[in-house]
Order: sequence, then C-alpha cells, then structure tokens
Amino acid sequence: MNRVNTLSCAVLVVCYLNINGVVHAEPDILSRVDAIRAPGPNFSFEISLTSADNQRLKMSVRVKDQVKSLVRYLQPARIAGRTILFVERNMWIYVPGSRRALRISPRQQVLGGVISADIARMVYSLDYKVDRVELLEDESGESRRRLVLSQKSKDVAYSRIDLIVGGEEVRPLRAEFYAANGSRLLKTAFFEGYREVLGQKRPTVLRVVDHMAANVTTTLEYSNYSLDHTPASYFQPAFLKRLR
Amino acid sequence: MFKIGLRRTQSERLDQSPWVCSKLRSFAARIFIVIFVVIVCSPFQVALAKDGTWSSATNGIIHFGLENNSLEKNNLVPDPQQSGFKQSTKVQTSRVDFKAWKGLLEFNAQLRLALSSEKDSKAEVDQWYAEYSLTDELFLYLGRRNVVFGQSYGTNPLDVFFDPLALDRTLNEDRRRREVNGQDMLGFEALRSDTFSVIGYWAPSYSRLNQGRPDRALIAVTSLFLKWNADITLLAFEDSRPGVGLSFTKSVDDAILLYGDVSLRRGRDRFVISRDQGSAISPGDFLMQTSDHKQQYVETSLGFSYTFESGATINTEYYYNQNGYTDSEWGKISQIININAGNLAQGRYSGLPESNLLSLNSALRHSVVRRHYGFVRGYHPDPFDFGMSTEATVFHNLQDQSGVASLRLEYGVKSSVLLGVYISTNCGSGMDEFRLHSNKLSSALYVTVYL
Repeated sequence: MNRVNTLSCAVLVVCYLNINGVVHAEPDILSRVDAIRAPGPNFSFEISLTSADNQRLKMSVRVKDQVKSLVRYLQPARIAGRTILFVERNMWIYVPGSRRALRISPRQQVLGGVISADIARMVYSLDYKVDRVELLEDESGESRRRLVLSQKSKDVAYSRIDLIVGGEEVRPLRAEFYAANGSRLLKTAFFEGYREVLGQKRPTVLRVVDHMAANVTTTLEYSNYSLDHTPASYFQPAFLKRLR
Repeated sequence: MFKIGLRRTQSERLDQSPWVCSKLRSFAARIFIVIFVVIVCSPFQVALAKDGTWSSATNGIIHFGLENNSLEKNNLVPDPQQSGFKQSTKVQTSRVDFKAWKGLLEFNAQLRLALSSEKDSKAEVDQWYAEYSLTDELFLYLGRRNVVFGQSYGTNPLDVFFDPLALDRTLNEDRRRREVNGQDMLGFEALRSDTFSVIGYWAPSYSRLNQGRPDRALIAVTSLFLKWNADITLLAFEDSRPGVGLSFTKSVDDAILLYGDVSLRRGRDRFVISRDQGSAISPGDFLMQTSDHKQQYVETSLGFSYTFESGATINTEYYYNQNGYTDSEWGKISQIININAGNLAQGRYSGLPESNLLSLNSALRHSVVRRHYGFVRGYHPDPFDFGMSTEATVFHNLQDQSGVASLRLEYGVKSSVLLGVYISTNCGSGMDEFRLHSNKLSSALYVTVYL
C-alpha cells in the first residue's frame, strides 16, 4: 500500500512539474547553443574588453579542437604579451617578465568580473550537462527556455549555470553563473549584438554583471572571427614565449 | 693579532689549472664558432631565400623611481653608509625589447640602460639571440638569453644558475626576473605530441662569453599530464655545483594549485668558521670555503595556492635549503661577528675588526643563509574597486623567527602608465638573519611608462 502511495505521489509531482513548464531536454541542445557561440572546432577571433571604470583590454584568441585556447593580450601596453593557455582543464600563464609559463587555476581573473575561463572556454557542452529545461513566459513573442546546467566535474569555474535560450535555434540570451553550492549567484552574462558571422547569426557582445562586486559591468566585444588551423605546437606551455 | 682569510680547497685550485683549462676552452670556443656558422648562418641563407620580407616588433619601458632606505647599524655592518648602503637613490631605467623575423629565422634582443644618482650607470644587453625553427616543433638558438624553470614564488630552487641577489626586489613580478643578464648559450628546444618538450643548452665560459661564470650545460624534459591536471619537469645540469632537479604542479578543482621544486646539487658554496665544533671561538679564527664536492645538498620549495571567487590569490610555501647554515655553524658565525664588533667598539687591533667584518659580510652574501623558511603571498587584482592591484608578501626564517614583509600597490593610469609604491621592512632581533641587513625599512615610489 505504501509503495502504491509513493508511486502515486511521484507521478503527481512529475505531472505538476510538467504543467509548470518543465520539459525534457533535447540531447544535443547544449551543442546547438555552443555552435552559435563558436563557429567551429578551430577558429580565431579578437576580444575588446571594457570594464565599468573604462579600463580596456584587447586580446586575440585562438581555439583548437574546442578544448584548447590561446589568449594573448594585445593592449594595454603595460600587460601586452601576456598569454594564457587553456588545454582541457589545464591552464598556464606566460608573463614575459617571468621568462616561463606558470600553471594557474581557472579562477585567475582577467579584469572586472571576467575570469580567464570566461574568455578561453567557448563551449558549455564539454563542461556541463543539462539537468532540466524550463519553459519561460513569453515576454517578446519569442519562445524562451531556461536550461539548468550542472558541472560534469569539480574542476570547472562554476558549479551551476542557468542558461536562457530563445527561439527554435536556441540562441543564448542570458547566462547566470552560480558558486560552488549552486545557490549563490556570482554573475550574469548577457549575449547581445547578434550579427551575421561566418554564415550564422552569432552574439558579438557579452555583457557580464558581477554580483560579487556591486553589480559592476564588464563588456566584451567579439570581432575578426576566422576559421583557422593553428599548429598543435602553439598549445604547449613551452611555446608561449615564441608567440608574436 | 688575528686575521681572517679565505682558504681555498685543493679541488678549487685544481679547477684553475691554467694550461689545461686554456687549451680546453680554446678548443671549445672553436667548436662554438663552427656550430654558430652551421646553425645560424646557413639557415639564415635558407630563410632569406624562402621568404620575402622582414617583420619586426619593438616595445619598451621608461621607469623613474625614488628609492629610500632607513639604514640601521648592527654588529655586522657598523657603518652602513661607509659600507656602500645609500639612504636615497633616484633611478631611471630605459629598456628596449626588439624582435625581428623572416621566414624561419628570428632575432631577439633586450637592451637596458640603468641610470642612478648613487651608483655607476649601466648599459646592459640582457638578451640577444637568434633562433631558427627547423620545424614547428624543433628550434635551435644561439646567443644570450634567460631560461627559467620552476613554479615557486618565494625562492625558486630550479632557477639553478641564477643568483637571487641579482634581483631588484623593488621591481614588480613582470620585470624582476626579466631585467637581468642572461647567459651566452647554444641550445635547442623540441616539442612533441602536445604534451612533451625537451630543452637543452650549453653555456661555455670563454673570454667574454659568460665572463666570471663556470662552464654550464642543462637539459630539461617536461611532460604534461592533462588528464591529471599536472605537469612534471626533470632537469640535469653541469655547473660548479652540478645536480638534478624536479618540478611538479597540479591543479585541484578550479581554485587550488599544488606545486613543488626540488634540486639536488653536489657541493656547497658557503664559508664556515674553520674551528672544530666545541672549540672556543676566539680572535684568530678564519673563514673556510665548504665546497665539499662529495656530498649532495637538497634545496626544495613546496607550495599551495588558492584563488578566491573575488580573484584574490594566496600562495604559501615552505622552503628548505640544506646548503644553509646549521644552528651550530650559525652560532659560531654569530659569535665571531660579536667578538669583532666588540673589538671595533673598544678600538682594539686597529683596523682589523673592520676588515674582518667586511670579510664576514662578503661571505654571508647569499639570498638566504639558514635552512628553514616560510613564504606567504597575497595578491588581489583590485581590492578597492578602482583599478589598483595589491600584493603583500612575508618571507620568514622559521629558525630564528626573523623575516621580511613587503607591500606593493600598483595603479594603471591610461593604458601605458603604471604608478607604484613598494614598502618592505625587516623584522627580528639581535643576530637574527634578517636583522643583519642594514635596510630596516625600504620604500620605492615609481612611474613606469610603457612604449
């Protein structure tokens, strides 16, 4: 009897959740989101980053096989030449003055509320899995969904991400990043400035609001996308001193 | 009457056997020149033929600084100003970094001009080398360059050929290890399979090449273990104190880093008081070099770093240096410093106490003199939310509880100007290690313009 009651309750709970907008996740939904942000497994682009106090950084980024990224600071002059290498979960920084590449943690900050992992990691599907999908109320005549993502392993920058996507093409609109316990909101990123880039409409502006620092806003503008094959040797810490 | 002298061991005298050394070095120099011609000049022709134009990049800095030291006399340095310590110094440094490349060939140079109100001006060529890429993964180079291994921040046991006393601590991390002379070398670097690299070089001492340094060579193998978020470097090197080394780093989740650098070197580069342990320390003792080439000495630094969600990072390191003085050795040194300081104060043995103290001071010129240390570094990229970074460090002698603490604040004005303040203070008492330094409180105010 007890078993029947428990089963009935479970069915009722599931029905209730479905009524309130919880739907099953399509298996490849996160990959589709990634395909909008990243034009392929191998590409390069530039980022102009502006913080709330008007500090500006310019960086060039090369991505290889989705999981390898090379971020090189171009401006301002006082930190030009610094390079961050991200291979899978491994991260190194080369500061020209130290004469060697040093391993660092993905939390190492770039500027404002933006950390290196935000810059270097362009894909969610490798680091996170979709726990559930919620239908949101239609605000602008477009269907929107909230993808609640949880980390696949502990060595990623955020424990949970709530990703709001719009339309059938699942365009990323907003991402909310949560701390280790999954309940404290650290920052919110807004995907804006959708433009035609390499055959598809892609966000070219990322506005990051850091809730840990009085909602300070940092803006990243993406440009000069190109599909490039960077040689494999570039993605070794020992090569970083040679980058031009 | 007594006298302090520097006694050399027999092995050191043999090292300087003139005829054999000059022949060997002459032979080495010829080989060096032949290799230079083969490696650099031939590829240079190939490179010129393959590609059309030269590309280049130049950048640099101009640095203005005002350094101030609050000097304090102690038993080892009874008159800091007479010993060459300056209270106030204005410095101006200009540095130019130049890179030019064409095809597979690349030239690099770093030139530095240092002007000072209190010291001789210096024009330095810190780096100047040519590198030729045989493939994307194999490089040959020749010239002067700085090559560094190891992960430690406080004291790096794997920076095996570098004397930490050459570091200007008033400079920030971006410049401290950069604005020093490299070594003249011939070397190669090979990268394989995304996770493996080998670097090797030979730095002979001949004529003006590596003047005043021993012949040196090094080979290092690095392997990246991507699945375990770890990497390991093994190295072996030839030097007046040859040895082997190991460096490992491992990141744990997204915030923690564990790391360690260990070297094992043959011989010791310390002077000790020559009397047997237990003998009374008296005037007449002298210093003796302890270059015991039969024994191996371990130097290690084990570290842990944590990065907070705010971006603040804290590093803690334990440093052990077997080459440093034992309590017994240090006790004798302390005693003989005190005896000479007493004689000087009482005006006995006209001039000899000063001379002895100078010899002792010179013999104790090491970045660290004892064995056990702790290091803590805290860094925040912008603690006050207006673009000013803060770095605080403490380097602490765990044996006598003395130490040196420092604070650095840096603020970027526009994109190419950096304003900085650096303050450091030495703590301890009596004959503690960090009270032997004359600088009680040091400060530097600086402006750096990036070009």
